[in-house]
Amino acid sequence: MKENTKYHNYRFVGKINVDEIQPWFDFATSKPWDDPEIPWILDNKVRREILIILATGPKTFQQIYENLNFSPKPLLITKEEYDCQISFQWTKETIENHLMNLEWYSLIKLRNNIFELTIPILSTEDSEKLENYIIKFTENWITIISQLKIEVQKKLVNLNEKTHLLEILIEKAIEKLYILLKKENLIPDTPNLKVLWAEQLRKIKFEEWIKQNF
Amino acid sequence: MSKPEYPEEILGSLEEYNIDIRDFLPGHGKGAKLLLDFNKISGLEQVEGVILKGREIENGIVADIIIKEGTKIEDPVHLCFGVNKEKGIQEIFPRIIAEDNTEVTVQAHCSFPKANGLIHKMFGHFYIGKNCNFTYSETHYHGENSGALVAPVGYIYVGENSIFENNFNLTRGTPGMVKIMIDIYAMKNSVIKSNIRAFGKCKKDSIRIRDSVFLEGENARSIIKMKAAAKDGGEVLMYGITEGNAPRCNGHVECSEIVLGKGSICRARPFIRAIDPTSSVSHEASLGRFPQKWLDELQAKGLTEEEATQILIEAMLQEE
Repeated sequence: MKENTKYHNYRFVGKINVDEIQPWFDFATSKPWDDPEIPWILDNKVRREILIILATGPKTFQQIYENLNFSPKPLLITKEEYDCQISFQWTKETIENHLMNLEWYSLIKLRNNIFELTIPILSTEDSEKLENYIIKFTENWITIISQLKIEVQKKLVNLNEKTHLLEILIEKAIEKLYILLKKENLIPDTPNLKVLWAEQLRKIKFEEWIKQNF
Repeated sequence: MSKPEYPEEILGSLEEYNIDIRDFLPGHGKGAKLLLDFNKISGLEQVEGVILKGREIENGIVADIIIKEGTKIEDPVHLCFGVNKEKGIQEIFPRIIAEDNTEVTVQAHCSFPKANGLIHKMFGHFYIGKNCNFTYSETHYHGENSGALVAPVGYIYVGENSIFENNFNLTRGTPGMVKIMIDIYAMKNSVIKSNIRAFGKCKKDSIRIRDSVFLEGENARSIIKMKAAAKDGGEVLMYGITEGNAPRCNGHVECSEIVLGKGSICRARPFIRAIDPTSSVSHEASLGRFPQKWLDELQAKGLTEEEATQILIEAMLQEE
């Protein structure tokens, strides 16, 4: 799919890692205008499902195709009451198109006829393991914020008292944190980590909610 | 069910749409029915070929509606989600499954005549099988106080050779805050028609609707028609998405919006994507005021500019 000509070097390959704000960036977000935080690539359920399937390990096209079907079941009506017969299967041509799309945006790669993710997607189990560390991180942040709050307010006396300074600080600090983490090689230099994690969690959380309630 | 069991304010609240909810109540008409009075199921009626089951949860209900294979029914399945309170939370989780070879119309009425701090949320899944003809019409009335926050989300899967028509209507009363997201997945040879109509009438009204069609099957076709108006500080955003992901699929997004009075905002964001080289997707959008010629013609008949505009808005929001 990828071109191997001299023009390839001048082509946008779907991934931008520029930390400095450029004149053509979106004023509202200070990010490239054509590469929003939640890219359109994840709008589509089929593409999300492909990524979720690949999160369990590399797969061939046939394996992806066989996993990409679903037979919805009612939420309350049991099989004994009525056995609902309905199923959906995405077509091979469509899956092929979606795979090429995901590959173009460098979210997956094809090696020896096997598709694999280029980014990590966490499961709920893994996120639970992280819970204690999230609390630890947050507690440390609270200590720092309470120490610095008054100092920052004194520095920025010209700001209205009602300005939500902490929100600005947190937002800017997270941006900076990502840049530094990338520089220190503590996180991979890849976009969209947060988004993919959230997508995976959303799906699993809904299924869990169903299991618990019905 | 006798009339007094359901709040009179809700029963008569859609009269301006020429809809009388009484005609859809259990005991009236032949269709299946599910009535919700705030978070309580106050009526449920099944018919041959339709299974309906609901369960009350903390802030609303979960409901299953199954249209059995081969069922063809003329009378619509009626869903009424009414709230006759100012405040509260109503959460609805419907799952509608129309098995293969079915023909059905689902008529949903969401009426909150006293809303003033009321939250209505829906998270619905519709699964439509092969060779079906499925129409879903939803008419909303949120009272006159701009006091509702309405946030429905719908995921709809349309099977091979099926026709799905979606009609959403929010043109009477004051909408309040409305955020609607609909994702429709169209399989091989299916046809999708989605008509959205909304009218924001004051500063407290904000209507944002995202209607997406993903053409996932060969020869799938779709049209999204979004019509809206905003006046006296109201805000409307119509976000129509169509994605051509399959061979020879064809989709179109059309958006017309009228902005009236200073401070009103109309936005349109048609977003089309073609991934398959044989797909074809198009869009058109027009925002602003009506052509002067149309206004002149009506004013020549003795109407003021405001009256003429009102008539044109009514006509635009009613046309098929």
